[in-house]
Amino acid sequence: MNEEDLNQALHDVIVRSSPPPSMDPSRALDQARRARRRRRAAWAGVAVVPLVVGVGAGPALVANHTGNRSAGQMVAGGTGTTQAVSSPQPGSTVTPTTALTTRKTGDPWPEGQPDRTATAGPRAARAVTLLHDLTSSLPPGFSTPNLKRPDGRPMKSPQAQYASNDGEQDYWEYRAFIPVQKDDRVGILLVQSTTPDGKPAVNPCKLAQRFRPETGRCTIMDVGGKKVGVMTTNGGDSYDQWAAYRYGDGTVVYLAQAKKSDHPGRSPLTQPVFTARQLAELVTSAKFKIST
Amino acid sequence: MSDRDVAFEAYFTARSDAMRGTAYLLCGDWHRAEDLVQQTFTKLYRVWRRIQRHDALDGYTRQTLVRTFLSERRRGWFKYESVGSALTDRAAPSSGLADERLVLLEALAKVPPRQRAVLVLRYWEDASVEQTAAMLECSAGTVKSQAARGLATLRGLLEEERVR
Repeated sequence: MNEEDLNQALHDVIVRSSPPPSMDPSRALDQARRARRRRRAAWAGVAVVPLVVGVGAGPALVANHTGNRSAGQMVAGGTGTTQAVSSPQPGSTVTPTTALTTRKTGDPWPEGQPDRTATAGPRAARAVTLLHDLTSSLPPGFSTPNLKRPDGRPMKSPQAQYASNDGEQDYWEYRAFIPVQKDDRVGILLVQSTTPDGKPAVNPCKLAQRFRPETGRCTIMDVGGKKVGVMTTNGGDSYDQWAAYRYGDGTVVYLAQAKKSDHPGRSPLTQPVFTARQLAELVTSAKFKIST
Repeated sequence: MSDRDVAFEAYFTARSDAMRGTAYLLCGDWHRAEDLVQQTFTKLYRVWRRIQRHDALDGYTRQTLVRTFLSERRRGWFKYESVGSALTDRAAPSSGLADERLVLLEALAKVPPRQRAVLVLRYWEDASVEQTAAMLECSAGTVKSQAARGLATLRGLLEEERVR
């Protein structure tokens, strides 16, 4: 694992680890206020002692302690008694460093995002459209249930993320993930469309193998003259099968399926949602192609 | 609500998710990551009037987060429950693939905290050697050696997992 691999792996960990819903800012503010009040009350109690014993020495100590320190670093109070409890507050002794909201190249995350994921705006909307397009592609007899993960969030999930690493041209990944049900059994489907990344085309099977580091067999299928790599794994914990197709402009689409959903209490499907041929045909569908 | 509180809340809304991601990589558990973020922002709130207009507020926040993490480690915050063991109860990832994520997280959890902090700052936050050194209050040379050791440790752990 080199540095670039680690960067990608950490990125994958975050993306795939199902972050809980955002923290509540009101609650955070309330807790911060309470902590501040408690701290002030505690310091006020401690300050009584030096107030009693240090009346005479107070002014001199204030003069010494203020030195190079800004007023803001002193505990609130503003009298000679405060210096006696003037241990710097946690966090107040450190000097802010330069901003770190940039990648190695010094660029900020694109489009004003705080991180890689687009949670609103046109890119997020494209991922939602991708989700709908995937759902509408299900063959008869299959449906996509509104199942939830143990933390209460829906299993159906769209995602748009800025995917390029340092030194790479900008490109984006759009993903849609859905549970697929037949009878009372549930599997999963995922479609991922990656905008052109400026890298050269590779053999369809090599392209397919880039999706997941699984062992299995890969075949190249011809879909109306389009060469599609179809990977069938040896039954690991990853997807059972996926198809990969690269358009001439560099857009890459993956369509993956697994009979197992990882949803507690739901048995795996007894058969895959798509045959290998159907998977190959569907991955070339224009509705899954997102190039910008 | 005072202007101070409005500004603080707005900043929390804008940055808490990103900080929580970093915290998650440091501690390997979303609940603890949220605790770390809350502690960090509580510290910021105390000195908010002084820092809120600072150009490098994000850097300051990140620095506070990392130092809080290391401080908690030293105090035995994670003593009784390993980072790796907590992951077994996690929800399935959005892709339905748990193993790769678990392997990396578990390996990362076994890397000593300070090396882990260096790895996360350098390769997740894309902080420079100098920025990382400033945040961790150490020399640039120490950052380089910790990064090299951390990567080597991680490679070894991942290799062990691969052959298991």
